Amino acid sequence: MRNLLRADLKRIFRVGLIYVGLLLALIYISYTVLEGVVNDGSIGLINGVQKSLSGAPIALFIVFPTFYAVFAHELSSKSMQTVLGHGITRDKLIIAKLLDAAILLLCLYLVIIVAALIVINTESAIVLSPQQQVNLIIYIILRWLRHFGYIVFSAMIMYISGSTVLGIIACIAFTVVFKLVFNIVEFFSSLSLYDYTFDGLLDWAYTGIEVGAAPWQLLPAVCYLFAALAITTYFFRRKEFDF
Amino acid sequence: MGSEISNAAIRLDNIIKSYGKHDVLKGVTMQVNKGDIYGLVGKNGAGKTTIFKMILGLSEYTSGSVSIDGSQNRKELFENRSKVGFFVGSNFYGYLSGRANLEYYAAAKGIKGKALKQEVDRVLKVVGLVDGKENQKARGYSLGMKQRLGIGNAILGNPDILILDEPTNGLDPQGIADIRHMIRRFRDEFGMTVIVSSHILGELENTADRFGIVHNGVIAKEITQDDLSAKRPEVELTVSAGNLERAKSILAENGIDVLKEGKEKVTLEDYYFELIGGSAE
Repeated sequence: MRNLLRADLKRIFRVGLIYVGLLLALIYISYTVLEGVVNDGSIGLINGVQKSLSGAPIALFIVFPTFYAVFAHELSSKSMQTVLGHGITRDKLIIAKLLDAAILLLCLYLVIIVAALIVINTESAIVLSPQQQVNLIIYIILRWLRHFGYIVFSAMIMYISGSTVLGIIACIAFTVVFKLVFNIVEFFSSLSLYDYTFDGLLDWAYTGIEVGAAPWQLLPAVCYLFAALAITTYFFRRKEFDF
Repeated sequence: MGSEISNAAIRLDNIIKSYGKHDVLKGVTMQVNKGDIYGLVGKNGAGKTTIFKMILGLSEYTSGSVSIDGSQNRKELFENRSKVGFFVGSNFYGYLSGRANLEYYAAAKGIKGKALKQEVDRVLKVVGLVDGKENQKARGYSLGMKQRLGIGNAILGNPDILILDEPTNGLDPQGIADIRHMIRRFRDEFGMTVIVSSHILGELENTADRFGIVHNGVIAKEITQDDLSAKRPEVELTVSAGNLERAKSILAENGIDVLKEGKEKVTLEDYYFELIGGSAE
């Protein structure tokens, strides 16, 4: 699996779309963070980082290119058949692909963090308290987890349906319209469903962390990820491959 | 029987594959011996590709057993699949070059560092993707180049067993001749056991040593080149047109009947190569 992971990462980093997405993300983040700093100082900086990482634009710039780079060519290239035929298990193949996505997403986040630090340093008057720094780091980690979750759920749909297009549509839906749909449902039905979704649990966990509560909501959120992984492997083990 | 099995590169015993109530394979039993070039022939939809999927583990068989290089159980079968290289069509990333595709699959197979570059260079040379073609994006390749790249992927790491599913599909006569030549080279030079399928019978006739004829989901018959010769006890005698009458009278004087007389045509393939150059060999 390590060999596949290594080979795959080398392949994935040749996909131009991730660099286009990263460039757009950096421009967007820099603008949003600077706008926050100019308006509200250190509070504005934190709000700027949170706003830039939580909106649909950043998801489109980061999550979609990551999903595309890792999964978009898997079905059309029939590389899965080749790799499986060479004697790697189906479970390991799925895990390797998801690890690819997790690592790529982490790399993109690291670039974003470095860029954010550079932006912060250009505003030398801004000083974050230790608590603010911790909260900011936790926020970024939870954002990474959330975006990785979107990819896990989208990959599940792609592997079950056998359609890259459906996977991409799911990825865009999770990143852009998921929360909006639940807001609309809640508006019309007064049902508070969103809090129990993967997204909602992560929001809830962060709100708790900010006030010093234990983030127990992370446990069911991670369970969602494992459930998606279990469903994906269940269907993938039974999949009949065509040449 | 024991030595027969120990010489088996691939053995299928009574493989049945059903989709619901429909049996695609109805009890396939076949054995490919080490060092064979085994031709799997049959019309489209006969079950050739399904047999390959069973061997490669890309589809589960309903019942029966598959053995690769003497594997005795599922664990060994799974491990021995690493000894198999296979070509099942154009399976590569279009946005990568031919070389980058081979590098990807070689790395996934665990070939690293300097050995990786050497192996990819060797394979590119064997399949004839050289002179800059190897650095072009694979999506821009002609069908023949795609087939070569696919075959190159199959022979990475010099596998013991090579499976080629319709490798000449859609190729021009020169491409077909090149692939035939490569198949013989893989066995004679690299020591591989080769299983190759085709629905065009004439294509494999001069390439394979043994043939499995797939019909209605079973191997209807396994035959060798010798069996083919024995099927036709008559011999052909070719004489020039000017000597025909003389030859007939000599045969008649010696009490030998001429069963059939006809003028031999130049094959279209020979004519083609005579016209444009190149060779079927």
